[in-house]
Amino acid sequence: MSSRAIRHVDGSAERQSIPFYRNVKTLALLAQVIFVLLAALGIWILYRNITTGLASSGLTFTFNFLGSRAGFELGETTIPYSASDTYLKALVVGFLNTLKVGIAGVILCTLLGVMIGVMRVSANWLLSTFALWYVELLRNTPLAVQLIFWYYAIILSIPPRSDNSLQLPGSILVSQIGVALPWVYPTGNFGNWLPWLVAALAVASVAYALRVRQLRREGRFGNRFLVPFIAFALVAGVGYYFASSGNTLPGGTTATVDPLTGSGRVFVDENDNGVRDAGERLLSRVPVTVRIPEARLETISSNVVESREAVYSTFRFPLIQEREFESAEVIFRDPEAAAGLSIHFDSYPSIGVIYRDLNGNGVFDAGEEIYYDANGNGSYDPGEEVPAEGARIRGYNGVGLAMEINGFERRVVSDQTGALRLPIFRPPPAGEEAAAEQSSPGGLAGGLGGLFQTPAQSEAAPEVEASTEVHVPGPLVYSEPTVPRSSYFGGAQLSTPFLALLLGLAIYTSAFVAEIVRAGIQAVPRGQSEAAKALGLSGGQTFRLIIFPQALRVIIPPMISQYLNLTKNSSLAVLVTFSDFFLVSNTVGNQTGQFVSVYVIILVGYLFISLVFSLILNVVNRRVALVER
Amino acid sequence: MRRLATILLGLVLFATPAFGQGLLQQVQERGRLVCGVNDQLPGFGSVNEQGEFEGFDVDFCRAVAAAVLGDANAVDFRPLSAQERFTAVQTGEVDLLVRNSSWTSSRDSALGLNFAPVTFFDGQGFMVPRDSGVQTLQDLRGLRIGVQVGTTTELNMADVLGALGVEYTPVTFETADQLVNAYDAGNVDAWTTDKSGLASRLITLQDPEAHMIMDATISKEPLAPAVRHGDDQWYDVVKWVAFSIMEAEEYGITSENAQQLYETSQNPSVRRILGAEPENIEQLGLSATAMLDVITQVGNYGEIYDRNLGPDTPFDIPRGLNAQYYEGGLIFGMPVR
Repeated sequence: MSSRAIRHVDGSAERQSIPFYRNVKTLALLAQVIFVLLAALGIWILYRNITTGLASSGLTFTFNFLGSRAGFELGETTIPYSASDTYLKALVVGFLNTLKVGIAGVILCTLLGVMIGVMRVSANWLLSTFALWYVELLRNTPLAVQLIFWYYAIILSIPPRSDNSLQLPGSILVSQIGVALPWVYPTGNFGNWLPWLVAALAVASVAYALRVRQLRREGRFGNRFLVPFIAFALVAGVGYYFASSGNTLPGGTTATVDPLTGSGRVFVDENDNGVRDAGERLLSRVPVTVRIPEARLETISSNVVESREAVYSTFRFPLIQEREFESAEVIFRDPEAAAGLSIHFDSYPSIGVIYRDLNGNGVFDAGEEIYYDANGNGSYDPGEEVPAEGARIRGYNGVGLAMEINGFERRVVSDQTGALRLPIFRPPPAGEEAAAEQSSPGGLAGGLGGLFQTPAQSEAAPEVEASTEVHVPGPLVYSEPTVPRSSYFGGAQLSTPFLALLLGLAIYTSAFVAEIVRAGIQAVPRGQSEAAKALGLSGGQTFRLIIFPQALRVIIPPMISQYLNLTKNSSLAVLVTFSDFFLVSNTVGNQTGQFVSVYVIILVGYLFISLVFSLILNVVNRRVALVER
Repeated sequence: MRRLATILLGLVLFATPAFGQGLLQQVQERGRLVCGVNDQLPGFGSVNEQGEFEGFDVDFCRAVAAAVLGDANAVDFRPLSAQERFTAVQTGEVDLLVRNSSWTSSRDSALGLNFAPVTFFDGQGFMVPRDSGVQTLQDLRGLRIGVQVGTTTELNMADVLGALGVEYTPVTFETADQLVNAYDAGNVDAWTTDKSGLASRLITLQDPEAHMIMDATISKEPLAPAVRHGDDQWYDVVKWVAFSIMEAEEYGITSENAQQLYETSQNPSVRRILGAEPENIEQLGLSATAMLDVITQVGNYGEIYDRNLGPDTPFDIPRGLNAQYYEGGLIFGMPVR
């Protein structure tokens, strides 16, 4: 309690006490105490609400469920994951997926954003107007709408399924499933090369330091990176050659393939029995050549339906390249049932058409692929070749076809779980009697009546002969994508959901980045560029050496929040069915009912990503910030 | 100061859930039942052209509303996704969940739910294009299979196909509409859900004849209404509405003859259900004629089934397991007495 002395005119002093609620110091202290109390009360109310709410439903707040078996598969995994792994592992996979899209998105949006931002301040009218529209259009429409737009924009414009993918040069496959490209993976022998890489890095840094010193001494601008890069490539290249001589595989490495199921494994056969027993180690990234001397692929023709009308009948075989076999022939599995029909087939890209050779010239002509069953007798009659207006067209669907292949040979690289995938092969016709077709009518009644129909074990079908040859991989292995059945195998795969999410996020955020870049560039005083011109620097040099470094100081701080926005916005992944952290967490919450715990995990997860991002960018910011004395 | 204290006190009181009053009283005071349903599963729960909810599950909501409030239309429907549904019950956002949800032990315990009697016995199946050549579960090897996220079907598929050693690529979707669109567009090779769901969706495809439901059934899916743990009275009400409509079918009480039977029937079982002998229904905390209201306004189990899934509907799902026990099914209404 404070007080002050009041001195009266007569000199006598009296101490007058001021009430505590009028004392400034006390009030300030009191305000803080009240604030803390209020905050504590708020948290207490929340906590009490949660615990009483959970208790009234007989639930407890716990994280014990994390160790239990998850039981669901995920569409996209960066580390090996299966349904028998724990909820924790599932969450980690989701977290890595979010991180993957976040990092790729940050890089892409920076590149795009800087480009558009620079265009925006360009003197070229066309470029600056384009950039203006780009920014205004993208930042003024909701992200969710853009994501769905990209998802469908991608899906609708490319072939529907992966087994008749679009093939781009360089073994790149494109379909609605996604994009698959050849990729290089480190193998078990990567360790041999590692010392050489470290040495190469050391040489390169020394070269860089020398080059910088040389340039400074000579007082000129020049490329600082070319010489160190060449040095690096040279040492690493020579190292790769020497490291390759020490390549080995663990003793007893075996690859097995079952052509009837199209799956195989690479493993260490410790007891040398040729079969993988429990506990025998699987080997990832091992190249294997699979040879199948004689076998057939089977398929059934189907009508292509466009706007509820069958337009023509096609068939397709699993994607096989012409270089992968010696000879191949497409035939009808049951020639009698297909009497009068002909096959039009390009062995590449494994898709063909069934047609009736109306004019008998032995060649497939336009218009021969369909007929209109005018009298409804279920078969083709002369005169039915022209589809009537608005009539429902029948095609030749359900016709069995086989591709007889001799000398199939394919080099595949085992994936991260040590698995190999091939198309499903059938035995050649000689030994086919046993492979009886079993068919029965579908429908709900049959299914519900016989709950738990035991799935038929694969009959004692004749084997398809297959041999494997395991190659000793170098430090790196080249893996080309293939299409064993409906999904890609090998190479690097970018799924449609991932691409749609990445594109949507990067393009949306790049509009904001562009504005930040523009603001940064315009914040540099005009005198700077005039001075640069006076020194005789070219336009490019002025931008690269004078304007941009100064603009960076203005650009980086607001960029941090854009990067964080991008990462957090990735939780919209569910719109494009990408298994990100948020989607996986929600699934876990749904299966366990522990929503409170799961949301705590989500909060901590995103907080962690955000804090790490800000930390990195703050370090960068400190480096470029103006050093003031 | 005093004002602040009042506000704080108010906050604390407001934030505390109102105990002591059961859901039954709350619903009756409110005059509306809040019911969580599906809006994307024709036959079970969907919105028709007039903008009204209709379907098998929706009718069960109406039955409970008729029992509790005397008016089958006093229902607020909350469409819920598979992901949201259980949280909505836990938090009390809905009084009752009738959304083709399977009764499992973990949902009964860890999710804090109580399941009323099973209203529809189902099993999980797969739909594939006829020309895909897929006949058995083994044929699904290497295919992309669509599934709705947060469902038991997701788990069953992983269990069964995993045990068979069939590798596949799961593609998860948030809503059934997304899933079916992706299948119809050929983006997934097969999709899975309860067979009733497959049947109801089959007719909405571009070319229904080009697709088939596989024979194999990989799980038991007992679909049952669910309420929140810890309110026995409310649980009892929901439970006995279900049993009563099942018993009503057994004793031949229909929406047409219920009023007449109430007045004239001498069968003690019928009299107990309809409340001509009032004590049994009143013991549940309902008015004596609650079940009479249910049956006249909504109908008995068989009537509800036929209206939504029977031969006159596009779905035409045979009764199968959902026939009365004396006809070889599993529908067995516990006695009202």
